Amino acid sequence: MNNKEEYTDALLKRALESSEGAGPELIKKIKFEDIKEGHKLKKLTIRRPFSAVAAIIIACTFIPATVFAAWYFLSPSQVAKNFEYPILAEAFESEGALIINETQSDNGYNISLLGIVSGKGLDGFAEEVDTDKTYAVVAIVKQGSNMPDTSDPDYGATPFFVSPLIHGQKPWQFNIASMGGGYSAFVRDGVMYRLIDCDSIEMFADRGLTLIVSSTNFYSTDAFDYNEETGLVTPIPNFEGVNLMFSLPIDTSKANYEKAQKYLDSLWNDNTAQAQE
Amino acid sequence: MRAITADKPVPTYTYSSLVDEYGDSLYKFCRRLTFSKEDAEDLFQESFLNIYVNMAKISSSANPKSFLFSTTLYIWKGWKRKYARRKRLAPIGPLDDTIASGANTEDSFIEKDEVHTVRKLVASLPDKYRIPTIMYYTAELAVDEIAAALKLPAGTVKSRLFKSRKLIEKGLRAYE
Repeated sequence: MNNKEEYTDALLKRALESSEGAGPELIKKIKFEDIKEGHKLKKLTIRRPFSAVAAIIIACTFIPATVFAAWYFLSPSQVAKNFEYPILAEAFESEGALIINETQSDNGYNISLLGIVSGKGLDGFAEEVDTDKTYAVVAIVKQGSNMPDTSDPDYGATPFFVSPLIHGQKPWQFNIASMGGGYSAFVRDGVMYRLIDCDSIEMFADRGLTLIVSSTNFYSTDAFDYNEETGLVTPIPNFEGVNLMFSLPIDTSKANYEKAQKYLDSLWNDNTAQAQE
Repeated sequence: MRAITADKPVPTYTYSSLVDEYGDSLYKFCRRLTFSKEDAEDLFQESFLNIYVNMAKISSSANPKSFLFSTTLYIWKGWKRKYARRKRLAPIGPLDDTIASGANTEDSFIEKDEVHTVRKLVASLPDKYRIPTIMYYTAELAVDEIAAALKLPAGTVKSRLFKSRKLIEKGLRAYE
């Protein structure tokens, strides 16, 4: 470092260093109180708005689920527009996007996988995007009620974990959290729309891909079982919550076995080794 | 490929020891990431609650610290929009403003002003640069630890820290 860089380095240290630790009360709370409470889910007030009830009746009686999903929910493109990602919105309308509109129900929730698309720079954060990313939109409906809005204190009281999984890869190691992923969510007309993103999964298309949704904060071995011999993940039937799986019919011609293997190796082995050095 | 399996030998750390060892640095990270004490505490608690629930998986990781920080980042990404909305509604509270300095009042004032400017500049950096910068300077993580938490090569982390310093220098020139 030259003198100027050293000065900036020292200035950054002074500006960003903090003597403000967690404090004994907070430490005590996370050590003893929070873990006693565990993940008890808050009970939500049940309201039965006409629109939701009517929509479910229509869904169950008159029209196929995929048509219903396409009619009732915002499209993936509209969801992306709502997040102010115009390029992504356009991508969801392109030929490369998969519009799925598949709905599954479990433990009082209807979960709809609306669509998925992959590409580079789609969310408009050019500086953020170094690699291709995959984006998927999921709609979550609580049967007979509204999902709490993001400004509602009950928002997030029932967590949802939405993640792609790769067949043959340990799901607790390779999921959205480890694959550079994240999500954004908003609630419109009682429906929660979640836009997830992670490093592109197209390269794994030949291995088989699924999207899991569970009412957990992270991948949970309580919700899903992984068979190490077959490499398949299955929902655990007696799980008390949502645990669903959707197939991701991504074009296998987009697979790249070598690139995928390199990515998998880099994801855990290299970093773990680096951290141990 | 070196397999990392769930039935690896029992680690030498416990939930309690993780809290003791990394609690302070994680809290500082949360505090700087969110800028508000309330949000920082929420993020901190949520992170450790997830760590507690996932202790079995962390046991299979050779690097619990990177797991902890990447967990926090994952949660925070989900909160960003909600947080941004709240930030617009209510002014953000400053982090501790203490500047240890033996300099006189005028020097101290100039230094404090510069420090505030640097904080503002860091806050305005794209996440790509801001997050490793906070991890390095606030949470005091080493480059390889940041690399492990962000799932990036160490070289990339180094270059982002370098670029971050350059952006801060450029920003400071603009303030002069």
